[in-house]
Amino acid sequence: MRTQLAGIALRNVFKNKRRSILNMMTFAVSVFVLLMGLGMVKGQFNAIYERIIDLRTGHLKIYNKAYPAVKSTLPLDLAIDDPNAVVLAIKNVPHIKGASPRLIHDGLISNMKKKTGVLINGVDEAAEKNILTVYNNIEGSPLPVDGGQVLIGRALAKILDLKPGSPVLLFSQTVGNMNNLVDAGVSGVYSIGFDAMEKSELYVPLAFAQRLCDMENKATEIIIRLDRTNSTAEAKTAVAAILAAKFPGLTVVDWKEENADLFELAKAKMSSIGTFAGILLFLSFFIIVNTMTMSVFERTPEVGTLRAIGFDRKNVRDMFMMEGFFLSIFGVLLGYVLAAPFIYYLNVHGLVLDVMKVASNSNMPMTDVLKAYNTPSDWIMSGLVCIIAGVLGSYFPAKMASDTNIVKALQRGVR
Amino acid sequence: MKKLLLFTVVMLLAAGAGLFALDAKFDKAYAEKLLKTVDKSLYPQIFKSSLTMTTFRNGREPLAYKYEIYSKGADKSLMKIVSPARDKGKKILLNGDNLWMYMPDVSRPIRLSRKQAFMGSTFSNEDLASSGWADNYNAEITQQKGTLILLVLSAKNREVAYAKIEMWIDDNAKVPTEAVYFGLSGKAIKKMEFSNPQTIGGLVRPLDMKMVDLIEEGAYTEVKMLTMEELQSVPEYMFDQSQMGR
Amino acid sequence: MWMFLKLAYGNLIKNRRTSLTILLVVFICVFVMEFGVAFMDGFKQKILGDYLNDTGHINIYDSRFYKEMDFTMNEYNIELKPGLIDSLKNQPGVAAVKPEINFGAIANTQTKNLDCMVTAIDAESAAKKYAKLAASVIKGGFITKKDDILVGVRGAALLNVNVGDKLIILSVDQFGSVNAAEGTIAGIFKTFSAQKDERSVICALPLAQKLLGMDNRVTKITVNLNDPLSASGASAAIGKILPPGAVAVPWQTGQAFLVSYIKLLDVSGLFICFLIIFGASMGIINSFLMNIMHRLPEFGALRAMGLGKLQMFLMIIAESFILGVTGTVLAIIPGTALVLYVQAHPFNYERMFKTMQGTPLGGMDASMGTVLVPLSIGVVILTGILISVIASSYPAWIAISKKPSEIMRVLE
Repeated sequence: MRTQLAGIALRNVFKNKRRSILNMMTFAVSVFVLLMGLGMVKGQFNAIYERIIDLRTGHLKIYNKAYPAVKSTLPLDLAIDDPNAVVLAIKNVPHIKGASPRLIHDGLISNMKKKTGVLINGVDEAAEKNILTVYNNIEGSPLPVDGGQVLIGRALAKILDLKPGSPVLLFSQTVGNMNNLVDAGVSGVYSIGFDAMEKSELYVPLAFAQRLCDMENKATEIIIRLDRTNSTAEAKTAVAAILAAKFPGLTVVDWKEENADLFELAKAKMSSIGTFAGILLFLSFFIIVNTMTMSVFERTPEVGTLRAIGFDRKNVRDMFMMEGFFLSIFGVLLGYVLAAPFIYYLNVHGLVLDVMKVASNSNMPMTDVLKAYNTPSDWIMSGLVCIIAGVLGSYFPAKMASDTNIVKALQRGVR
Repeated sequence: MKKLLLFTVVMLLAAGAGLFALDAKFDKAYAEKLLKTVDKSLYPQIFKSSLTMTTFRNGREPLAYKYEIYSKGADKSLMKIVSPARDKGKKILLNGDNLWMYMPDVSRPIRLSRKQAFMGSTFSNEDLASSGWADNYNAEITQQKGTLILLVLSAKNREVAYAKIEMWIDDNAKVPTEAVYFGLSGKAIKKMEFSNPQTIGGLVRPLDMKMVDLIEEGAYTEVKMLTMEELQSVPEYMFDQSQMGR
Repeated sequence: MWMFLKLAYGNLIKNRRTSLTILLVVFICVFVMEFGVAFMDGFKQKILGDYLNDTGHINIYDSRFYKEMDFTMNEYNIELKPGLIDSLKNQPGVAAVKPEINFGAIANTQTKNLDCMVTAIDAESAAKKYAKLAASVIKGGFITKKDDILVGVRGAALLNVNVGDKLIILSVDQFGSVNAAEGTIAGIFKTFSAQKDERSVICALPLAQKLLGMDNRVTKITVNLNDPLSASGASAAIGKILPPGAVAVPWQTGQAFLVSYIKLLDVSGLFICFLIIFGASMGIINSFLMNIMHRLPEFGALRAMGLGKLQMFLMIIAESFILGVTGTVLAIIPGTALVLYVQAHPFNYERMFKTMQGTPLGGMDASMGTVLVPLSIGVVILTGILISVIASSYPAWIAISKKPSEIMRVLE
């Protein structure tokens, strides 16, 4: 009986093409809207944290175990000894795209007239090109492997009136708190459209920073880039295992821990925009239920006929629900097909917003591209919501229709 | 051409020999002794003094302070601000490595960080708190210019403020005339000029100093000693931070 | 015309069940549209309102201070000459005038030091002028006395201080020298920014003036207007009454990024609103389509009875119009009520997401309300009715473009 009912339901779907297409369009539009909505909401969220990963934190960082708790004081005495050995040991962990030691300390930069406090990042630029995007937009030349060259941010260059080739002084204290001052030249000026960082962070060759801080062959952290953000947990576990075995004094933290504040911020932003996703979800659900209701109500006389020829109530109800089920499946598939090109475009290219080009003075690193971010779960979720709405939407009217007195139902047919 | 070159080299050698040839007495022991003497002349035993400290910075009004100072040994001194009126009553206590600031309407003295600039001057608190050089630096004499000799102080360890200090000293008066402070890299960070040597308490001491900040153009602090008298004793409570309100 | 409406009304009454279902669709869609749009407006209002209220619509600085903003040179300050604040208050459109000093400092207790950013505010009616901040005080009170200090909840924990304790603030005064001042902790605040809760300190203006050697002087005078968008014009007028050397900077200049940020919000907001409207419209269109398609045989019969093409078209449109207007009006009433309610009682996301810490955008917090913007409501009403009418024109057109005999055959 079940398969028979399913067969009748399927035939009904194909029989009344116009009605079915209208119903399917409802599902398709709902799927479309849900996918786009979810994608845009998550895209906004994603944009912030991906950018932080790109610019600053990478996916994972390795520190001396005691370092994270006092990170804000940038202690030099809690360092990583022989960081290259650590990089070598973790290099082959699956998903790791790049790993590089860094030495970070605070200091002063002076153009001989004015001085200002900065964060001096000793880096291996060639290696970090695979890890961070800071180095993508540089005026001037990249940093050498060693030597007194600095890469400064556009905003800092503006404040201190510097350009590639300008001489500067860098002042810092060594690990032993000894004062140190060195001559350097501006090798390049980086632009990332994020003033707060452009003002405060400058980059020097790692070997140079090690000498500046009197920390030969030491680093304060190792930054790691993965092939994709989703692999973070897996790679973190693998790295942690290697550290535990070979470098028990070190620890690994992921980008979420590294930037807890910003992550919370993004979550806050996400939740407010998430309300819109909720509204969309509700709307889709309601529209589908309503459409199905109308569609079934219209067929009350048919119910009468079916009951008259011997269908019992349950059969009728099941048949309508199966119709609803088939319709939603086809509708959802149609929606997938319609949405796919848009979703692809928004995920890969995004909407380019020229207005954001001047938005660099913000507290948040923002991009000029508004991208959507859709995961397979979005597709499953939006599809499921529509199918559940479709089946439920046909359940209530089908129940009402099947409960109707046969004669009355038939009467409605000849009104 | 060759002759000219040879001539130049000979002249240079001659000049170099005259200028930089060291007397035999300027050996390691002499250098160490000289450093101790300088320490003594810069950090007197028990004294009461008054001085002005004026800091100049480009684009700013000069910042002038007058202090009345009681000091005992190299590592204890209490500085009372006499003027300007807005800061009158403030006291700064140097006790070993610690620096405390007392203000009349703040309930307890505040400990100052060693890295901070001292009262807006080009001195860091560390410059003042360091209790003589002999403990932390090895001394060596490397040059001689007439009565002036160059004492090069190199840090005994890497936990002191400066890696190297080059100090020109008048060998007759046993007072420094100039000191240049170097960072680990070997680049000069600050330069101190000493002048106006006077005999006080049996030792010749430079009464005026000028500390030049080599990182910031046009930034320097002038210290002028106004009076200096040796005392028999100074009450110990003066150097107790819990008694600073007295 | 009246006839079509009457005819349409008759039809609607006859197909009561269908009519009600369509009404419900229009109702829900318009309701959701209104709420969605109002929520987006609320989001924008939050940025424009809360954030700008905090940072100021117009900020007055010494021109040298403004030029070297990055170096916070406190020696370039403004003297509060008698009458200056009053004459600013008396400018047209001015809602509040707030003299402030912002400076970096070290908060010091017997055993702990904490680098912090201090904002010194005028104690006079402070709780009113800084309502948002005053509301975030979770322990103690707001700034009322001349040596009052507020610290954030995380800062208080780090310094191990409590309400009533003394706290010393150490900073560089306007002459370049080190100075300290002592105040009493009047309250502890908890905002939605972890960073603020840790590093932000609020103190009474006289305390900061004493600390910085800036008697009767401030580095910034913030002017808030009734209408933030009029800041550009108002700043020109204010500039004329300022002492020489001072400049008035409207937020559009001082916070230029915000202009772009609002534009971005507009774009992403429009996009989401568009999705909501699109979804709702599709719902309405579909209902009308199904309704009319289903009734094609009926229309065929009417045509056969001699009803003209135009007459029938108008009849169908009139039906939809009635449904559209009724549904929209019915939806707008509770919709507006809900919007007003949420406006008064914003959602508090903090309760929804325990871990939430909020944003660095000034006083923004995790609560999120709606705002009733007449223009937005107008757009929603128009969309609701227009969509209803447009949605029925296509099936109506099909109904009239086919021969009566053809459409009657559609009956299965």
